[in-house]
Amino acid sequence: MTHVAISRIYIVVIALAIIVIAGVIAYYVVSPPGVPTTTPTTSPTTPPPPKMIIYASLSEMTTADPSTEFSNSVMWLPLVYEPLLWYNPITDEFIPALATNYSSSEDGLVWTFTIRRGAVFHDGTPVTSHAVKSSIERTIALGQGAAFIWDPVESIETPDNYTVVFRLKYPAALDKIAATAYAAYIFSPKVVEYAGASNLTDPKVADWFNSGNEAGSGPYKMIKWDPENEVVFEKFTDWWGWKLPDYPMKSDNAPDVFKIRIIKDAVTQETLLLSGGIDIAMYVPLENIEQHQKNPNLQVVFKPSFQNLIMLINVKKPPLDNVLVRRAIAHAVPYEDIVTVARSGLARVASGPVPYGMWGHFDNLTFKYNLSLARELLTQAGYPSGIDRKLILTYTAGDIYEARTAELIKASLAQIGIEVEIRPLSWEEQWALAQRGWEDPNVAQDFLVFYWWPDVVSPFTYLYNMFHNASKIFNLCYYENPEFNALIEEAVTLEGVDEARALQLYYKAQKILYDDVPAVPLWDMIDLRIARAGIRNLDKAINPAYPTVVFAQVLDVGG
Amino acid sequence: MSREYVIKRLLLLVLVVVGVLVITFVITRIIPARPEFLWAGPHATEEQLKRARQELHLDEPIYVQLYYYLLDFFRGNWGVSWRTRTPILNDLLTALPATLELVITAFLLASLIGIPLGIYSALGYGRLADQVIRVLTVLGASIPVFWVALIFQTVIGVWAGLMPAGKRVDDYLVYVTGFKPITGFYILDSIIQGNLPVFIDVLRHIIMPAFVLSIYPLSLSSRMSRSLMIEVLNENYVRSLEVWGIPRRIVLFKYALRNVIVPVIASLGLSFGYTLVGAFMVELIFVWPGLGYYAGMSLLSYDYPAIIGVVILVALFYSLINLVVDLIHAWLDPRVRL
Repeated sequence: MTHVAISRIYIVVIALAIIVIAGVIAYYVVSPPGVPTTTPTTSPTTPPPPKMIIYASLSEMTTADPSTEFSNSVMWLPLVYEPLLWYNPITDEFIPALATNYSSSEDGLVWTFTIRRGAVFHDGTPVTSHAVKSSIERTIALGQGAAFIWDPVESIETPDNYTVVFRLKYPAALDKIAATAYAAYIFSPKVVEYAGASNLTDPKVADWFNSGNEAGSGPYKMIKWDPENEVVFEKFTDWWGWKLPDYPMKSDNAPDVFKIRIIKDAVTQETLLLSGGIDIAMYVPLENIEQHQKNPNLQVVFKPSFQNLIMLINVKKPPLDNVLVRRAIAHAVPYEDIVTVARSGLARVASGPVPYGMWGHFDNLTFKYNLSLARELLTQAGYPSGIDRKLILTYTAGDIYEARTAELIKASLAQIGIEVEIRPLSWEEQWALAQRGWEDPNVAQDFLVFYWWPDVVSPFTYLYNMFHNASKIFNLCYYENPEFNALIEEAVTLEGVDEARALQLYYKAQKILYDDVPAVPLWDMIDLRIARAGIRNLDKAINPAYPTVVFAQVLDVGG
Repeated sequence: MSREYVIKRLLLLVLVVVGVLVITFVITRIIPARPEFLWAGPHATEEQLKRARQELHLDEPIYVQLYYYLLDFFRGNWGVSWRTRTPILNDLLTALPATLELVITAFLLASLIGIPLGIYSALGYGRLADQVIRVLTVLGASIPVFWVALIFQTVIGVWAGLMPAGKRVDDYLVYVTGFKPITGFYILDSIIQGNLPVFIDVLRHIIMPAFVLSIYPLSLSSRMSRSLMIEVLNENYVRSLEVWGIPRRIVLFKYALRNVIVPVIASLGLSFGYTLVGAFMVELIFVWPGLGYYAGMSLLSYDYPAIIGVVILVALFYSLINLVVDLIHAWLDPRVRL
C-alpha cells in the first residue's frame, strides 16, 4: 500500500476551513431567527408580515361539531362560529352578534330576533333566518351535549329572510339561552351538501365537522385541525364585524393568525411563555404569579370565573342526616385558609352555590369559621365528644387544588372531633360510587368535593343540577326538598319576564340551602391569563360566560 | 452469519409480539371489571357504552374476544382515542417520525462525539484531559435525563435565550413559509421542500433535546471506547505493528479501531431501549410531539386505548431494534456465529 504523505500545513488549512464552516453554521443555528434574515425587507408595496398569536391550552380539543360539542372545544368555537347574541355576565349586558336586535312578548313566550344583513358564512353563503332555524333545529334534534338549553322552545318560525320568531312552551330568558357558550352556534345549511349527507341530522354531517371542517360565520376560519397538538385559525376577511367601526367585539389590530397549542403542563406553559414559544398561557404554577406580575415583559389578567368548588354532603347517611351536624361542619371549615393555601389567594370564599359576579349571587351566604360554635352545634346534635365513625371524603385525583382543600378540611374537622378519611378517586370511580348513593346512601361517600360550571349562565344550572331531586346525575348530596324545587322551577321561568321576582325566588332557594346545609360551597375560582406584555385588550378578550376562550378578534397586537 | 440464526431470531420475535399482545389483552379486557367504561371514557353515554361492548365483543367467551383482539390488531384497528375520536394507529404513526428523528439525531451525536472522545481519552491515558473526560462521562451516565433536560431548558432556553426552549419548529415560520410535513421527519421534509429557514429552525429546535438525550449513550460509548482502546493498545499484535515501524496513525485507525468500534456499536444499540425511555421524558419537557409526548398526554387524561396503543408499539419497536442490533453485531463481528 502506498502511503501519500500530507504536509502539516495542508492539515492546518483543512482544519481551519472546517472550523470556519462550522462557525458559520453554528452562527445561523444559534442566532435567534431574526425576521430580516428570513424575509425580504418590506417595501411599501408588499403587505406587512402576518401577525400570529399562540395561545396554550391545558387540555386537548374534543369534537368539532357546533351542535353537540360540550367540552374543551368551547375554547375556539366562538372564534369560528357566532350565536345570535353574546352575553357579558359582569355587566349583565348583551352584545349583538348575528342578531342586530330582539324583543320578547309580555308573557315571555314569543321572542323575535332580527338577523344581521350582510353577514356571510365562510363558504360565502349569506346568513339568513333559515340558516338560524336549521342550525338550532339540528341541535335540538340531535339532543346531545348542551341541547337541553333549548328545552323551552316549542317552534321556530321564519316570516322573512331576516326575522326569526321563537315560540316557547314556558317562559324563559331566551336571550341568555341564545348567548350560551355551547349549542347556540349558527352554521351554513350547506354542510349537508359538503358532507354528502341526506339531511342535517345525518351522522355524516357530524363526521364532516369532526374531521376538521367548519362552516361558521365568525371572524376566524379554521385552517388546521390537529386536536391533540394544535388548531390554527386565520382571519376571515369578509367578516361583517371588521367593517363596523364601533363594534365592541373586534379590534383593528387583531392577529392574522391565531393558534391554540395544547400544552398540558403548567410548568411547560410557563417555560415556553418566558422563552417566547407561546404568547398567552392559560395556566402557570400559581405560586409564581406574584413574581410574573413584577416581570415587565409579562402581563397577568384576572377575571372572576363561574367555576366553583363545592363539598356535597350525603344528607341521608347518619350522622349527616342531622342538620345540626351539617351546620357544625359548615362552621368548622377554614374558608380563608383554604383560599390562601389551596389557591395561593386566587379565589374568593364562596357565598352560596352561585358564584361571585353572576346575576343571582348574594353576598351574605358565607358560613362563619367558628370552631366553638361548631362544637356547640355538635353537642346540641347529641355528639358532645365527636363522631365515632370515620367520614369519607372523595375528590378527583390529580387536582392539586382539591387535594389541598381536602387536607385543610380534614385537619379542621379533626379539631371538633370529626375524623375524615380522604380518598382521591378518578372521576369515573368517584361518580360511580356517588351514583350508588341514590339506592343505598350508606355505601356512598360522606363528602364529595367537585367543581361546577355553567352551561346557560344562570343560577338555575347550579341549583337544579346539584340540589333538585330530579337531577339524579349530579345531585350527589341526595337532597330532596319540594319547597326548594318549586322555588327554582318558578324562578327559571320568570328570568325572561320578571327579573326582580326571579331574583327573590333564587334568594329564597339559596337561603333554604344555607339553613339545610346539603352542601358547603368552598370557593369561587378566580381565572387568569398570563401573556406577553405587548398584547393589548387581553382583559376585554376574556369573558367568564365563555370559559377558557380568548376572543382573538378583540386583541390588539400592534399596528 | 448462519441462516438458522436469522430464522431463530425471527421466530423469537413472533413469540415476543404474541406475548405482548396477550399481556395487553389481559390488562385491558380481563382485569378491569367493566372494560367498556375504560374504552369509552368518562361521561360516556349509554349508547357509547353499548357500542363499546359490541366493539370489544364483551358478551362472547374469552377466546373469541382474544381472536377478535388479534384480528383487529393485525387489521390496524387499534381503537379510537376517546379524547379526540381519532383512530389510535393514525396518531401513533404521526408521532413516531418525531421520536425517531430525535432519537436518531441523539445517536448520531452519541457516536460522533462519544467514540472520538473515548479514543482521545485513551491516547492521553492518565493526563488531565483524560481525567476530565472520565469525570464528565461518569456524570453523564449517572445523571437522570429529565434533570439535565430541565436545567438545559431553563439555562440555555429561558435565561440565555440562545436556543428555543421547546417544540419542533417555530409556528410562525411554518405559517409564513407554508411548510408542510411530508414524511414527518422535519429535517428531511425541509430539505425536500428546499425550505432553508425552516431547515435551520428545525436544527435549532432539535439540538438541545437531542444532545440531552444523547448524554447517556454518549457517555457510555465514550467510556467503552476508552477502556477498549487502552486494552487493544496493549495487545501483542499492536505492539508488533509498532515494532515493525508502521506509522501510529495507521496502527490506530486501520487495526486498533476496528476492534474497538464493533462492541461499542453493539452496546450503543442495546442502550436504545433506555434512550427511548429517556425520550419520553425529554419529549414531555421539550414539548416534542412524538410518542413520549403522546403517551404522557394520554396518561394525563386517562386515555386508556391510546396508552395501550403506545405500549404495544413501543414493545414491537423495541424487539425489532434488538433484532436488528443483534444481526448487525453478528455481521460485523466474525466471531459471532450462533
